[in-house]
Amino acid sequence: MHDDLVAVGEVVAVSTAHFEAQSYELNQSPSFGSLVLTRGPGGSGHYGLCAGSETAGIEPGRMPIAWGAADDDDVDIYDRQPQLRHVLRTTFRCVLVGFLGPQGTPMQGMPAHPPRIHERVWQAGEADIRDFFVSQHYLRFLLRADVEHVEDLIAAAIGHAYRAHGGDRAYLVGAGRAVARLLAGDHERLSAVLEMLASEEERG
Amino acid sequence: MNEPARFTSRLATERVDPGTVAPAPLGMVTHGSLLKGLRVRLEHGTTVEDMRVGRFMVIEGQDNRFFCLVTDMELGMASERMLLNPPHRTHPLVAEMLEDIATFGVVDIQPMLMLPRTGESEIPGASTAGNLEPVRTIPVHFSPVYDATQEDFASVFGAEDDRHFAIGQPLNMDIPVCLDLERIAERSNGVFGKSGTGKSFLTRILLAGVISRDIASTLVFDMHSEYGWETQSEEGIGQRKVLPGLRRLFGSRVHVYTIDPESSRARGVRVDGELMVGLNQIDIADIALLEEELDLSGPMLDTCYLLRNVWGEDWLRTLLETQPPAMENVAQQVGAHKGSLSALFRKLSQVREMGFVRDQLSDSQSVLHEMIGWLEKGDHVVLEFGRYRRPLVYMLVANLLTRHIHDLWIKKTENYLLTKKASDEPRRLMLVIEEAHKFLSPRVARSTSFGTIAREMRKYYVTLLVVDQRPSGIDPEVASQLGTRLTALLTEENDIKAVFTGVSGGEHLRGVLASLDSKKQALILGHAVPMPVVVRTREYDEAFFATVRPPGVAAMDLPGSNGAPRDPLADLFG
Repeated sequence: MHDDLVAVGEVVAVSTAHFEAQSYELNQSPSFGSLVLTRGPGGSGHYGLCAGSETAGIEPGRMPIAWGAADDDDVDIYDRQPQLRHVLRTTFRCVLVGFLGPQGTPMQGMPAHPPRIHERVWQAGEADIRDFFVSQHYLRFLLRADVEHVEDLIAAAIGHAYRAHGGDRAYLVGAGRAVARLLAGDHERLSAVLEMLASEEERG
Repeated sequence: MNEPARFTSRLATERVDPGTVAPAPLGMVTHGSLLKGLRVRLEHGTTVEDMRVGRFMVIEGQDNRFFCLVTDMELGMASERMLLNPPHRTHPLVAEMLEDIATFGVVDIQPMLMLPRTGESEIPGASTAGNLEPVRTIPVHFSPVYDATQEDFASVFGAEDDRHFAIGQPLNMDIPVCLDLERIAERSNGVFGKSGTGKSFLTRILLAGVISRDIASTLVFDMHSEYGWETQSEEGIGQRKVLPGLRRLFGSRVHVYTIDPESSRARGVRVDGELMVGLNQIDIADIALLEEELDLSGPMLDTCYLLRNVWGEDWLRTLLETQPPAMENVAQQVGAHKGSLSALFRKLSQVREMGFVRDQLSDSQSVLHEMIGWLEKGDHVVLEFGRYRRPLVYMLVANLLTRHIHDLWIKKTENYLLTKKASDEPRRLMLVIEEAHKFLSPRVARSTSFGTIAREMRKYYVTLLVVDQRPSGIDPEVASQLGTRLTALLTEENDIKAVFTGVSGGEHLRGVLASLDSKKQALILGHAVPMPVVVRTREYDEAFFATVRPPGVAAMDLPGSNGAPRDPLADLFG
């Protein structure tokens, strides 16, 4: 793990294959499909892929209501209503895709234990992303992880990794072929992922 | 050792020489059965367009190496739905990602031979031909498939020596594919192919091999006068070259006879003798063979027997000298029907009108025995037909000669079986006939000497080399006895089927045969090769002449020169 990273949130719920974290900044969460990591005691650590985020009231049952009016000028609503930052919160859900191995090397796979509550969550840097995405085995359990929009998640994760690899076309093709092997029998889903990957390439 | 480790270590020890990079497998075996052949899924980087039907491949099984031929190929896909929305239309990158995964190439290959791995004793480069076995098992799942290397070819098809003769080269490599000539001489063989595909060149190359290795005597019934002195190459009009025939290559060991001396003179060809046929030499068996050509009916043939019973050996001459008004008397005399006697007379009159037919010829006047004498001695004879290209003439003469040979060789063999002296062993003889389906059609094959020779004469040291463009016309019983088949392109379904008569697994090779180039390519299968193989046939050129020509013949025979060797017979008949 590289040290010049910025913590973006804190773990607030865990299960075997997922964890949920609350962002330190309201309305700020890691982008969809990006790699995040946690650090625990004794050099332990976990890797997750951000699979979705949500902003809602801090009290269950207390729904946010609209504060503005049709003829409002362009002043930010959060500046006019500073209490909003204290009654709302942003959370993001992550799929566990790996952990730190004994020598501090990233391993793809299901960790033996999920991270602990209140561990901080960092947005992975490019070097971490490159280190983690050396293989595409994570796709296999991502497909089984029971997350919504899994095709979009796969495409987004590969897109991040592709950009971290400096836009290396060979990497993108390799990852796409890995997806094709897993989804060869389901042409519609496969096409959906691959077309998203193709548009990643166009974006560069 | 776990399975994957064993797998890789096997590859490492088997295929890699120190200092070279391991060749990547072209694919792996995924499906298949012993009877129906194996399916190979191509690896990434190899497409079906890199494959060729008839290509020689090697599968590294767990305990055996399998030598195989590509017989068919197919486009495979993981999901049929893909056809509704082909990836190429959307994005080239997507197509690249799907290549060989969602869509992939499948090649059908037929294992032909296997070589059990003997472990330590296997020395690279050592001849393994002795250990080759017919395929009795198939490789395990996911066995890697490689292109055959030069060593693989060499271990299967051997190298040239006293009995092995290079007939051509594999499609994608410049190394020889050798025929076992001893095995060629053991059985009757066939050279097939559509007109213009190089049958005669293939035959000439094969004969040159047989003559140069002194494997057997050969007698060529040369319908188009292209084997003896010279022939034309098959390039387009204006580029044709004159190429030497067997006489020019082998000098006085090859004797050229003709039934049409005028044609020989006109072409400037010096022959060793002119074959004439006496009516007294023509047997009913010779006439029976012409049943179709002369449009003879059964009663007419019966009449022949009646005539012979009454008039003896001279029956044909006597009949043809009979004046038509006397026909009724003759009919009464021999007890034949007048109508069929008259018809027989009319039809057989054609025979008498042939230029080489004489009314009466004694043995000493005929060169027939002289020709047979050369063959007994171990020399070779080419009989040119000049302008007599009608099947009628060809069949009459060929059958007459063959009948004599047939009788003589049976006598010689029986004598040898009695004395058991090596010096009495008859010389092996190969008879080359063109348009063979006329001699070997189901109607006549049972009654002609050719049919008998094809079926059983190998015991009597005589075999046929059948050259034909319509193998489907050949009696299946005869076709199934052909030892080795050298087949240039055939396209007609029945002909292709006929070539594979009596060859187990032949149906897999049909596609191979139909996909040959129209020139200078042949599929060889049967007794003389360990497994079927497609070759680019050897060029019939100076380099070839130099390898087969015996020492001392070279000087006289550049194409175009008319210098004929002097030998006693040339003085007599030239």
